[in-house]
Amino acid sequence: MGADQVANPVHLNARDTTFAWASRAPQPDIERLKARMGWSWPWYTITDEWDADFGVDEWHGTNVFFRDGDQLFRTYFTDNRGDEALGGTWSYLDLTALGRQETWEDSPEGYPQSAPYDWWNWHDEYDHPELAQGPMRRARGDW
Amino acid sequence: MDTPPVVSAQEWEAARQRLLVQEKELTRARDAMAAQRRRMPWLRVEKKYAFDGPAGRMSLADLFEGRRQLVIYRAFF
Repeated sequence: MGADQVANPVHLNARDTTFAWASRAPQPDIERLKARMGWSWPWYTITDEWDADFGVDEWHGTNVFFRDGDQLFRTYFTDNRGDEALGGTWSYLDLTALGRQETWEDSPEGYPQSAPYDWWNWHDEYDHPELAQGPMRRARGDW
Repeated sequence: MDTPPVVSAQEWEAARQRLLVQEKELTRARDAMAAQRRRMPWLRVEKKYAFDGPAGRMSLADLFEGRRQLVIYRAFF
């Protein structure tokens, strides 16, 4: 059920964040289910003790990692009722080390931040700005 | 089913405003919690993990797809 509440991950991508799933099923089974359900995010097969090492070998859960070059860090973990609160773009960003990266947030010094609303976009325009209708279209309130 | 009272528009708006005060407290508390999360210490990932993806074997670092952050949910399937 949780999967049907996951917002379009391109909005997370716009904040330097990748969203993915992992489970034990082989890739062909995962691909079939993704196609049947219309889920688009990456979904990988666990092959080793990754699930046990990060608290998800016996129960679902959400881990958040940060990458600094080739160094990886675990920055957050939640499961049970914590997972139930997730699904929206802001709910995931609020779990991350960098947050929503918006100017109003109380974040450590030097964290990347930009104005709220400014970075939000149509989901197909982040990678294709040529689709934008231009500022006048927004100003006219056509949307 | 024992439902709440039906009231005038004025009373309904007053009740909504009272609730809104508490809702705003909750919103600010949630923001403060997220600010604390951003100050959580980090744990270095020492091991090399392997995943299977559509194009074959991948490392945990590969799953970032070049971005700095990875949110990864473990599903049971």
